[in-house]
Amino acid sequence: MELLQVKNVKKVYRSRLGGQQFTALKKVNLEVSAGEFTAIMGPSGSGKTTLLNIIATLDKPTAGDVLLEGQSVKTIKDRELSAFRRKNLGFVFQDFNLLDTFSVKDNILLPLVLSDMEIREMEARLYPLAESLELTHILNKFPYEISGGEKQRTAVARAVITRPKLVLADEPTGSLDSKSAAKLLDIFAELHKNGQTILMVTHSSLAASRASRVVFIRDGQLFSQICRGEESSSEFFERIVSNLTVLSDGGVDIG
Amino acid sequence: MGRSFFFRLAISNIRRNKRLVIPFFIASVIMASIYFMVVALMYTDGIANIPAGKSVSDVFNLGCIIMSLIVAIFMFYINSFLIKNRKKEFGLYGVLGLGKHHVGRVIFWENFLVITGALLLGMLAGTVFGRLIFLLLLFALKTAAAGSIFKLPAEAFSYTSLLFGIIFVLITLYNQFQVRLVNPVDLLKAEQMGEDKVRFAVPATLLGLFLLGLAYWKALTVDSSIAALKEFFLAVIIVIPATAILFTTGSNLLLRILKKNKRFYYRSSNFIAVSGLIYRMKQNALGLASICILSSMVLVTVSGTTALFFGQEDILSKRFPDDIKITADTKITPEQSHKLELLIDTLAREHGITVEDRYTYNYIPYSQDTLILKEGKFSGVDFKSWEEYEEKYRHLEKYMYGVSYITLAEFNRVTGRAESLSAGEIFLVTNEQLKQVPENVKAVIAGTKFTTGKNGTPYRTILIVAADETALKKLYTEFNPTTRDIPSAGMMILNVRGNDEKILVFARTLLNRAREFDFVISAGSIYTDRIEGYGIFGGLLFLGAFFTIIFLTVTVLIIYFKQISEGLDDAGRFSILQKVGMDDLAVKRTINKQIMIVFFLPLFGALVHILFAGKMIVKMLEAFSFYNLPLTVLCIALTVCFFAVIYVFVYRATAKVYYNLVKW
Ligand SMILES: Nc1ncnc2c1ncn2[C@@H]1O[C@H](COP(=O)(O)OP(=O)(O)OP(=O)(O)O)[C@@H](O)[C@H]1O
Ligand SMILES: [Mg+2]
Repeated sequence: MELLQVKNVKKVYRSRLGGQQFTALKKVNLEVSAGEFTAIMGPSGSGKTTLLNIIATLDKPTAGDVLLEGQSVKTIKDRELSAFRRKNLGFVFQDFNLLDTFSVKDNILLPLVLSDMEIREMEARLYPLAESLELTHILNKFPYEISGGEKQRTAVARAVITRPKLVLADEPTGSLDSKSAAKLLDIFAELHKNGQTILMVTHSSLAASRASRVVFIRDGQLFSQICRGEESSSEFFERIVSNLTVLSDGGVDIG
Repeated sequence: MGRSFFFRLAISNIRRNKRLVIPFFIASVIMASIYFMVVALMYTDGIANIPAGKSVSDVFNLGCIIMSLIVAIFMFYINSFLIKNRKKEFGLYGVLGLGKHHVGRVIFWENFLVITGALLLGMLAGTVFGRLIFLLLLFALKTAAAGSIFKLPAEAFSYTSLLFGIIFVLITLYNQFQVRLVNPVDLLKAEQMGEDKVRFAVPATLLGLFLLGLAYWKALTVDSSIAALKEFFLAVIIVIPATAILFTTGSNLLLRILKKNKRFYYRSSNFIAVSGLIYRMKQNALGLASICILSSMVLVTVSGTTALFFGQEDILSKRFPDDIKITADTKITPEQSHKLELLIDTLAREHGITVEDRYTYNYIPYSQDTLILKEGKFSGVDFKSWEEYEEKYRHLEKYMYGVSYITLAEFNRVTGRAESLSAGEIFLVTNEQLKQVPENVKAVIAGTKFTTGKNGTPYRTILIVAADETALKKLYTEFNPTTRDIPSAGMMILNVRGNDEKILVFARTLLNRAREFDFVISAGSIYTDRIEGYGIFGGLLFLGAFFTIIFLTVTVLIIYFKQISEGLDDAGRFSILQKVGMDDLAVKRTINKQIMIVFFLPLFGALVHILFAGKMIVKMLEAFSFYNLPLTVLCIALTVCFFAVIYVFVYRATAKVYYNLVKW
């Protein structure tokens, strides 16, 4: 059974006054198996963030369903959603979303503290992780004292410290310079190698070329997808770029 | 860019920032109208015409000076909060390419519009409510004063305009200065929100605790009214920095100690609260400390003035156990007494007053003689300097009585009794409960005319009755070895009945005419003093109420501005916490908890201050011969409750704004 199943998901936004309707997702089907590193690409406004938010249970689909390990998220009560999210999902956002009142260490520990874990076990998880993400020397600093790359690595640490089934990332390299972005992608690749399932939205073909599969989305619909197979990253990169050209033949510009 | 451009920009700025400007505007209107009313009450002819007019306008005169200062300081203060909330906007102007002097001109017009508007509306409100307040004041002063009508004096307009003109200049200069200081890049950058190490936290906190302890200790150990008056100001001066230090450094230190304790800190129920509080306290500590101090001041002022106002009769009845007393500094001879009686009869007939009771007696007065009655022994109080008194007698004050002396013959004559005394024996005439009396006391007599008057009992007095003049003088010299001349005095006591207003006129005339006799040294009546007293304390009560309104307005405004600036920050934090997997309810609960703590901390601090100041308030009131402890306690308690209710109400109102910002 697949780890994640997105079944016929449709999303219609209603404007506040109720008049205008906008269909952001038409009918999306997507499956992600355990251990996969999937990238989602598509033009701006195509519904990538909307899809990710629905998978993340931050938003509800108008129709269709999302299943994690066969369990429909619809069956989860609203009150238990946050605990479900904390246990099963990890998030990385473009704008980091760190809490400015917490040190780097406390930001990373936040989800564990919310689960009332023993401090000893929290620290046992924290230090090796901080070491591998090169955060050890800044653990006691505050978000405003560190660079964008360091912020994003902190966010990644926070996302994976709960050992989630699925890590969701929305343009994680969007706010980073190329060097920091490359470093972050190395980290994602490393996580993937260790068996972590990752679903990443990105505009960057280079970023997508590190994934094992790329899904293209356009006008609220899955357009096509390509798998890496035995190719190297650079070969895969070429294929992604040519696919994007096909995608943008409709006159849509890709970032 | 012409003037109209800046003018229009100013108007659109005001409109856009109405969430900030309207509260500031309302506060300015309230302050302008109150100031206007105080000046109007001080100068209006209506007040000058009423019987206690002089003392009322004296009180308002003093109040007016303090009020000018306080209004100016507070306007300045709330303006600085307003400007802090708008710094980002000014930074944006810089980035958009508007020069600093251009921004300066916009600010000039903004302030001009707001302050002029507030001034005009404030004077209008003052004109409307002034009449109402005037009528209330007359009612409080217990004068019907048929002739007094409220006419607005020109001074009210000119003084208020002058004060707000000065405030306008000050505020505009300050705001210009703030804009000049601003570096646009700094402003657009997110504020630094983490935890800067507060330096010297431990010694500073210890200093704060020490100062607070010192002030509290002083307040608790004060044991006389004079000392209370002297040391109250000192205590206030100490409490202000102590409060400020403890709110800033102290709270930070406490929270950081909590944070160091990993077992405590890394619990879901404490984690967010502690770090959130560290951040909030750092942002708000000074504002909170000033709210705490203002609240304490309101509580002290209001409870003090209400106690004095409602305890007025109590003070009067102690000073005037009987309606009218006329004293002479020598014995009053039958001839002199006759002259007085003649005068009284004539005036009473003229004014249609009935004389209920009248008697004259001669005695050795107590005003010069305080005795200590301790363990069954009388002893004198003899000191050369204030320091000596403090050292030798301060702690004995609870044993001190005002003692006067009278012969048995006079005593029997006035009371109509037929007591007798053998040589060396004395009576003590008093309503006090004496624990132990000297052996030669034949009896303690209570409830005679001397101590139970028509209106009440004098405070802590004993009248010593001895067999005859010689025995009296012997006793006196025994207790006052250093005195050469033994004073003697005469007193005429008068109780009357009749129409209140007529009695007042009668008493006035009688006192004036009696003072013309050369043997009369002083003459006083409960009626004339009551009018004066209500003038002073009623005036004080009104000022107290005015100050309270101003203090509360400022408090509300500071709290409101804080809620707004925090609401915006919290909205961001709220959504992050949700994403990370904290459920909505828990987020709301923890943020709520923090806001409650931060909001009610000043109230809590003020209550503690008042608790410790209680004894000092009681003692200070004693300086006004006010000894009614239960009433004082009741007034303090009621003031505190009333204030707390208003405070909670303010919290509810501002919390609504906050929740709208966070969009819960
Ligand atoms: N809350 C909302 N209400 C109404 N319309 C929305 C809402 N959120 C998104 N949309 C619309 O839905 C469409 C898809 O938005 P979405 O954010 O998913 O795009 P995206 O693929 O993430 O784009 P980008 O690459 O620019 O981030 C957009 O046209 C957007 O305007
Ligand atoms: Mg997006």
